[in-house]
Amino acid sequence: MVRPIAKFPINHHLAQILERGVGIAALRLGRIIVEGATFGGDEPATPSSLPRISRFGDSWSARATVLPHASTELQASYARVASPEELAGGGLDQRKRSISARAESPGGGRYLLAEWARTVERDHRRDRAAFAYESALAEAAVHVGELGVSLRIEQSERPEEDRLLDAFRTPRPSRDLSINGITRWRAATLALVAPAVTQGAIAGYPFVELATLSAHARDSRSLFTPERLYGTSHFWMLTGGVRIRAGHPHARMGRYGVANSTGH
Amino acid sequence: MPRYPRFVICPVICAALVACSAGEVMDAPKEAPLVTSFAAGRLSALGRGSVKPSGRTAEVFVRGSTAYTTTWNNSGTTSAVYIWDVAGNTPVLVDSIAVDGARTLGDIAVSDDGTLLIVATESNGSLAIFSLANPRKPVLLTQYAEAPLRLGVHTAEIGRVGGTLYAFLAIDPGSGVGGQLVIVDLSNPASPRQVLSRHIASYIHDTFLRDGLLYLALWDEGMAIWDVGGGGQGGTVSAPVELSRIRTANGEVHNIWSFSDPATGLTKYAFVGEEAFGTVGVSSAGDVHVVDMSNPNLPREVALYTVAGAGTHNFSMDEPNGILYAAYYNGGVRALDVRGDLGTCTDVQRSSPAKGGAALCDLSRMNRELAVGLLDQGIPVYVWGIQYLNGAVYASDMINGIWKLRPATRP
Repeated sequence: MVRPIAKFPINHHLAQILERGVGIAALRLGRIIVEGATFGGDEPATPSSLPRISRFGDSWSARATVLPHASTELQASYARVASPEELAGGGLDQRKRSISARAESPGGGRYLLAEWARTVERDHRRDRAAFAYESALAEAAVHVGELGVSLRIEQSERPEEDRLLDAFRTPRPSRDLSINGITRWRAATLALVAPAVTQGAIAGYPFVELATLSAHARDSRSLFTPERLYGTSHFWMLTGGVRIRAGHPHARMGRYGVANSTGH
Repeated sequence: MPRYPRFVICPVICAALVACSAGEVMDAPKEAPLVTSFAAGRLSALGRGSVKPSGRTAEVFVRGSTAYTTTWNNSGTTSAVYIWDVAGNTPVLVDSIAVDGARTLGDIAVSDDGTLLIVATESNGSLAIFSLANPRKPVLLTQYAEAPLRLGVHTAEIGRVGGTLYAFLAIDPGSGVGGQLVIVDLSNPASPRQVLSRHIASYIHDTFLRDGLLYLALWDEGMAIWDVGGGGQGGTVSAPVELSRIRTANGEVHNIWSFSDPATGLTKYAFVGEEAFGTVGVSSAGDVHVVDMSNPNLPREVALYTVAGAGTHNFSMDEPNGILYAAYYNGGVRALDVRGDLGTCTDVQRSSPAKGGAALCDLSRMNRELAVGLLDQGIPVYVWGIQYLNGAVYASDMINGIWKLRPATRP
C-alpha cells in the first residue's frame, strides 16, 4: 500500500532516499532479508531533472529486515550519500541511519509504522561531521466501517539555509558551509478517507487532512527563528483532495523482488 | 485481522531510544567548548547600538563619525542599511535606507574620497551605489545588476588602480557556473562599466586590493595574487596577470588582509581567514593563517592562530601599531600583535593545522594574542565584521547590532 496520508512527512529528506537510477541486490533467507544498493547521490533540482550518469555509483545503502510475523517487519538501514545538495559533487556528504517497524494486516485494513532516522552531514575532505538531524515518526491507519482513518505524529529537524527572493528556494550551489539554524518541527496529522467513487476503471478516494504543527529553533542561540519567516511558530493546515487510481493498486515503493516482504 | 502484538511496539520504542542515544556518539558533530578564559587583555566595550528586531546585522563600515551596517537574511525582499552616529561611545541610530529586491545585504564600503557608498546584495544579486554628498543621507545613484551580478554579489571591495576607482566583486556560483570575479569601473558611478568578468574558481569569497596587487580568496583553491597594475608583470584591471597561488592549510579561504608595515615600508605578511562550517548565532570554526609575502611570486604559510570553539570572519588592522583585529563570530573580537617576525618560533610554539600537515608557528603560543573583546558582556555575540579607525574598534554583531570598543595597546 502507499502511505495513508497524502502530505509528505517532514522527514522525507531524512528517512527516505529518492529512487533515481538505482542498482539493487537483495538476498532472502527465510525471515531475514539483506539488501544493498548503489546510486548517484544527486537529488533532483526540478521535477523533470534526470540523474547524472557521472554520479551513478558514488553512493550506497544497505538494509537488513527481519520478518518476525507474516504481517510485520523490522528493518535497520544505513546509507552514505555523496553530495546530495550540490549536483556537481563536492558538497557535504550525508550518512543516514534508520530503524523502523511496520505492520500491515492482510488487505491493508490496519497499518502501523514507527521509525527513527538520523542524518549526519560530513565534510568528507576534512573527514569531519558538520551537522546532524534526527526524526521520529509514528503513523497508523484503520478502517472504521467504510471510512479510512489515519493518524501521524512526527518530530523532525531540518536545516535552515539562505533563501532566495522566493522564500521557499535556497541558493544552489550554496555560498559556504554555514547554515542559519536547525528547526525542530512537531506535527500531528489526522486524515479521513471516504469510500471510493468509481467510474469504470478509475476510482477516486476523497480525503481530508487536518494537521497541527509547531516549529522551534533547536538551539535557542540560533539567529533563525520560524517566527521571523512564518510570522508564527504554530500552524494549522487543512487539506482536501481526491486520490485517483486507475487499475491495480500502486505497489509499495522501495521494496522489490525477494525484498518485498509482502510478496511471499 | 491480526492484532498488533506488543513485541512489535516495545522493541521499536526501545530500539529508537538506544539508537537516539547511540547516534549522539556516532558521527556526531563535535562542537569544541569556546575558550572564554584567556591570559590576554580585554578590549573594553564602550557602547552598543542595537536595531529591532535584533539578530540580523551583517557588515560594518565606518568613515569619520558615521557608520553603516547592513542586514542579512531578511524576511522580506527589501533590506535595510542602518546609519549610525559613532562620535560618542554609544552608536546612535540616525537613519536607514532601503535596498529593494534583496533579502541579504553583505559587504558595504565607502570610497577613499568619501563620495560613494557601495552595498553588495545577494538574492538577488546587485551592486547598489549611493552618493554620500551628505554622509548621513545616502542617495541611490544606481542598483547595478548586469550579468553575472544577478547570481549574487558575495563581497564588494572598492579601491583605486592608477587613480581610477574600481569595485571588485566576488560573484556567487550558479547552476553549472563557478565563482566569478567582476571588476567595475566607477569613474561614472551612475553608470558603472564592467572591465573584467572571469570564472576563476569554484568559489570566490572575497578580494583585497593593495598597491596594484589583488588578493583573491578562492575557498579550497587557496589564495591567488594578481598583478592588476602594481606587480611589475604588466597586469591591468582588464588583463590581470596571476603572480602566484597558495593553498593554505585546511583550505576554505574566505578573506584576506595584506599588511603593509609602516615601520618597515614592507608588505611582508598576508592574513588569510578560513571559514569552516558553522550555525549562525551558535557555532563557528576556522583559523587565521599567516602567509609570508616577502616574495609575492612564492608565498608560503608560516603561522596560524586558532581559537577552540570559534572561527574567524573578517579582518581589520591598526597598521601603525601592527595590530590585527579579527571578527571571531561567537568568539568575539581578537586582537593580535603581528609586528615583527611571525615565521620564527621554537618547537613548543608550533602547532599543527586541524586538517593535518606541517606544524606552523602558533600566534597564541607565541603570546601574540593581545586582547579579546565582547565575551565579557554577559550575552551571546556573533561578530561578522570589524573595523579599526582613528583610535576605536567597531564590530558588527549579527545578534546585537554594532559595538564600539577601546582598541588594544601594545605591551
